Amino acid sequence: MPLRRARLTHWLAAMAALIALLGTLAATGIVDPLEEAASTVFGPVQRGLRQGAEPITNLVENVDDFDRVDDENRALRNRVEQVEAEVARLREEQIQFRGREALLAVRDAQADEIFLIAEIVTRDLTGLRDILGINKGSNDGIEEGMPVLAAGGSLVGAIMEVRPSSSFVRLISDPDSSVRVLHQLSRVEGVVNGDTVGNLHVEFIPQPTDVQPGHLFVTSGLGAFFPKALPVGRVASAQGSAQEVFKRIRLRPLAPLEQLESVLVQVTFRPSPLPPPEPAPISEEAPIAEEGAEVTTP
Amino acid sequence: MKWPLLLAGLLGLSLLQTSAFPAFEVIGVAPNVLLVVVVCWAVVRGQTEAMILVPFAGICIGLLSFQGMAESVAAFLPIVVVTALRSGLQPRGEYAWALLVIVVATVFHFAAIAVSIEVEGSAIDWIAAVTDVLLPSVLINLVVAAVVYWLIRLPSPRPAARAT
Repeated sequence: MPLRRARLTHWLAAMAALIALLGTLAATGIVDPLEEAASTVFGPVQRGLRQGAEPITNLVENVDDFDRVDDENRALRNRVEQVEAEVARLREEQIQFRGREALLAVRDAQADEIFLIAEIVTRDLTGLRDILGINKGSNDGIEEGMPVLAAGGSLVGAIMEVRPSSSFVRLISDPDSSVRVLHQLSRVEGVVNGDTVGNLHVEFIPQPTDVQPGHLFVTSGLGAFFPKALPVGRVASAQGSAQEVFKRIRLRPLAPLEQLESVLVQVTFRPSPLPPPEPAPISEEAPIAEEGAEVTTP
Repeated sequence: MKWPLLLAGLLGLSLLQTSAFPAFEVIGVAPNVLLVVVVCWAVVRGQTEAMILVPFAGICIGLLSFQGMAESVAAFLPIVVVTALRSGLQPRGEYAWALLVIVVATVFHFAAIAVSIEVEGSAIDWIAAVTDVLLPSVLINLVVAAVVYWLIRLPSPRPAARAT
């Protein structure tokens, strides 16, 4: 028994050292080539396995008449998403350019956008994060921060980590995701955040705003992290009492985030957030405070 | 010959875990078949083999998914520690013990991942995470373990038979 305990203690010590070593190697980027090699070798296998599992998943989900129902359901969902995205886009254009003559210019700008089709290779396994792995990386022109869209054109997320031949996408439902949005009808700005269990919440929409279930939220483009007017989701519920400053809004994403098989990466858009304000130049005449002295500003 | 086969099998299982299994969501979560297999293997075949399989499984998952390797190895470690408690606790049956270890290992795995996410600077809604992720994960892993245990148990010799 003591021998067994001693062996376990030695093993735990070895594991602690291994974890520390792996953590250090990851932090310094030394394991990046190994991870890249693994994704190059096993990425196609993972994609094949994922596609191979699809019929079984469908069988489980649609026990009877699964083939027809699944195809029909998939086609209808795609169609609904496309139509909703199209309606949203048209409404956006109508709102933005009513009384202006820039419609053609915007259309031209849209026509110049380049989208890269990427297949989903892996998903986060923990249930605590909403992250996808895709089979395109820096070799294909993908950069961190590029927006990722569903086939219908609605926002799915953004590229969060890039490797040469693969990348990871942070979905809008991830707890660390934050997207600045507009309530399409009232033009009130808010922020869509994900949460631990994959729900979408809109924050900072003032209480008096008329928000009803079914209303659409689109990206505002503010902050330049995402292009403007990408449909994000429809209101599932909007609550709040008169005493509260902001509404409590839950959003249903337009894109079927759980069933995505491929996505579009908008490679022509690079986020260009404003640089932080530069500190004011220090006047040469200004006295230099001694170490530990209290500094007061006029 | 045994070890290469075993490690190749574990690599194959890791590939499935990172690609196909997440598609089989039941009650909102996908089963962690890799965790279940490693736990059942540790209970049935003993600590020595688990001590090799656990870090290998963690490294495989770390290489094949977004999870870091250190994070993955740490999340699998409690399996070996919990299975080592068996001789002290002397449970009635190995099957019940395997299911109990599944529950404990799932909880520890969840906790390790959640803590690492917090350490990275993300906020976790712990109540929602427990009710919507941890509890369904425990249930679905138990269901999978109820089958996987016998797939490992039946072809394996009992400890008494191994001693002779």
